[in-house]
Amino acid sequence: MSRVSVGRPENPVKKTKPSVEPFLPLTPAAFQILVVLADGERHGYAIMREVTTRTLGGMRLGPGTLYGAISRLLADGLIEEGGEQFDPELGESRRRYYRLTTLGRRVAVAQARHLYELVRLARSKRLIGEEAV
Amino acid sequence: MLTLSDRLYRLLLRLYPPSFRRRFGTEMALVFQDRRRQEQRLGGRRGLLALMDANFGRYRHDRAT
Repeated sequence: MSRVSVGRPENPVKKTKPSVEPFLPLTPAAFQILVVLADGERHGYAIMREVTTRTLGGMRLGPGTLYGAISRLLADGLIEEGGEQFDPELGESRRRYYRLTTLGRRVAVAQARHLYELVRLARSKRLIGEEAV
Repeated sequence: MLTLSDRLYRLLLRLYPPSFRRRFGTEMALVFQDRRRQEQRLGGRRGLLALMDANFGRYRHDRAT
């Protein structure tokens, strides 16, 4: 005769996502780095180059600013290290790659939404757009 | 090949706290070299000077806040 267990169903542990609020607002450099990494992992120089290109030269990160921001983003768990690889464009030295974490992506999305709302507000006040003088 | 500015930048890296330098110093020196090559290709010395500049001030500011 087989016994059937009729105990209480397992109570699934509900995992709560960490809030993005403590990380907001991001500094401009940190936000730009997360935006670059949204496309995939990059090494430091590639991040620097892409930020300069995307901002049309408006933001030029030096190594100190770049790695100061990377250090904080790593400590906050918004990015993580990938492996070390060669970049054929840049010669013989191996480069350390960085990538976005799930939390980092959520924080970047939250900051982008916040900026989007600000832009909408500025448009509605005719501060920017075709109506602006 | 390391240029004078590369060597100078490596010396300046000593101004950073040891733990930060151990963790990021090699990468920063490489990034500086990459950027210096790019600035040289574009033919500007001003960009090179700007590159050496205020990174230190900005870093100290970030650490202090």
